[in-house]
Amino acid sequence: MAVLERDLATNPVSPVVAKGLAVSHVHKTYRSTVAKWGRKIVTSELSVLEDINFDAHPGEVVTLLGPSGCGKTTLLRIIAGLAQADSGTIKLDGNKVVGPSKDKAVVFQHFGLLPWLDVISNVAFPLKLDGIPLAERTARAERYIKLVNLNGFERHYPHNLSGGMQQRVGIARALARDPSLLLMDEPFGALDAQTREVLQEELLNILAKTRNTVILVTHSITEAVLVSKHVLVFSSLPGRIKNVVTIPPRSSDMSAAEARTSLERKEIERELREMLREHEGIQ
Amino acid sequence: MSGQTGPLSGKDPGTRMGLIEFFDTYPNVVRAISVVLFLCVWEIVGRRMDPIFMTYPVAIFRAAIGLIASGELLKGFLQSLVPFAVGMLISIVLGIAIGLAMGLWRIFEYATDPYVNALNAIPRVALVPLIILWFGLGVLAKIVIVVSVAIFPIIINTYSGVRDVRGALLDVGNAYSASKWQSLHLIILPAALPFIMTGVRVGLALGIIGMVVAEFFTAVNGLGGIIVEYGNTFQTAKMFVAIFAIGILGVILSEAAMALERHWASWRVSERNRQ
Repeated sequence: MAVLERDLATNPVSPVVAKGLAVSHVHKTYRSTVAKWGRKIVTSELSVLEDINFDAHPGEVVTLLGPSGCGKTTLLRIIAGLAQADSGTIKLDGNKVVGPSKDKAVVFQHFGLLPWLDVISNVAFPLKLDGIPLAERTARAERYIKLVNLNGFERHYPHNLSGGMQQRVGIARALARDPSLLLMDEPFGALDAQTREVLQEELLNILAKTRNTVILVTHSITEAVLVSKHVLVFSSLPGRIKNVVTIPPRSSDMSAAEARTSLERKEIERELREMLREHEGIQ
Repeated sequence: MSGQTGPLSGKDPGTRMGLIEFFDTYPNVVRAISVVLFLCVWEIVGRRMDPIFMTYPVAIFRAAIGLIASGELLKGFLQSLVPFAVGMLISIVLGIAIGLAMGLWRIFEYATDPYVNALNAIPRVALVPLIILWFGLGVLAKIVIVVSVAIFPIIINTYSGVRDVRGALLDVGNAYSASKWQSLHLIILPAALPFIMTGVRVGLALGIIGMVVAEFFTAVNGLGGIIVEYGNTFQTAKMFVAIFAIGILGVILSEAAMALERHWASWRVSERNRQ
């Protein structure tokens, strides 16, 4: 797509460092504390992530799949820099992740749009933070609004849009900085089933053009199989990676709708369901 | 049933509304009738009463023309407006600053909330003699009295507005690596603006009360001064002119504040309607 080639031209790919995401030995424990005589006393501990290791190569979609409360959202927040791990390291394109940064973008489950801004200002919001002049950021936001098929809605406010449209805005905003890592926290979890299917397919089309590295959190097996290269199956409490399942690439002549019902994929879904059931007994 | 709907050919002559339905549909007609009736009764009763205690609409209208022609009303109006405007400006700037600081920094909140709560709990009229003692009888005292009543709703609403900002919105700022300053003026302030505007509207209404009270107790001038002066000399009709002038000022300011509130907070109202 011509639009995105221009973005690539402004962010040339450096060939030297190891690209992609590397997560090694990440641990996280939640501690409840009470204050007593000026001291902080730990009353209970809950280990949510235990020795998490995985890599995501550039352009890959890696899905964190697991039951609610297995720590997958916590892991995503740690990668985003919104939470701190107790130990372990995370490297993005060779650089250690210490907090939020402009080469990562987050798509939130409840969209996280700023309700007082219209669609185009929401999409351009990260660019505004970067101090990019209005004319340029509007032009760039416009391209991503087209990419998510929202042209014509630039001047609408979030509260006038359906949930599916709001999440398209969320995706366009995340892509606006052309981040090397896209973090999606149950992005379609708050949508109804039909809208979810449409957006899953559109996400595939978008990623085919933008080629971002994506970490996707979901508890939908179908979603995991449809969009990802690797699925990391989590067990809960403490959250551990139990299995890594690689999904065979979809042949180019197969549409997303066909892939959804293909026998091969149904078989993988069945396997994943077994694995989850082994750990927790869900669905 | 064909189930078709759409514009009719325009030949429907309509059905006559009953009186109750008519009044229900046109509330302003009811209001107008009510006001006209009230003025008529007032005129009739007022003319029969001792002019020291009571006056009547025509006399008030005549007095108003007299006060406007002599320039007395305009002078009183300006005398009131200057301390009021300065006091409101100080209240808005300082109130928002203190409210923001309290909402943003817990420790600042703990250090200041005893004073905010205590001063807010004391009826400020009780402080007027003290304010006069400290600031005299001039414009300064009037400004201080206006600020003392108008600033608290602004502080308290700004504070609540900042505390009400959803963690999800702050997460957005963090995730997109907004600086502290960017989070403040691009996320926290716009999110708190509807609350702040409510505070300003309440502050304006209280500020007018403060203004009139100040004019009763300090140097007697302005619109409040006109009320005192003509009250003391039993010129009831002229007194009513100043009362109405204050009322009209209050209505205009509160309507203006509400219009601004609607303009800046429209997203919030529509968001609430959705839920």
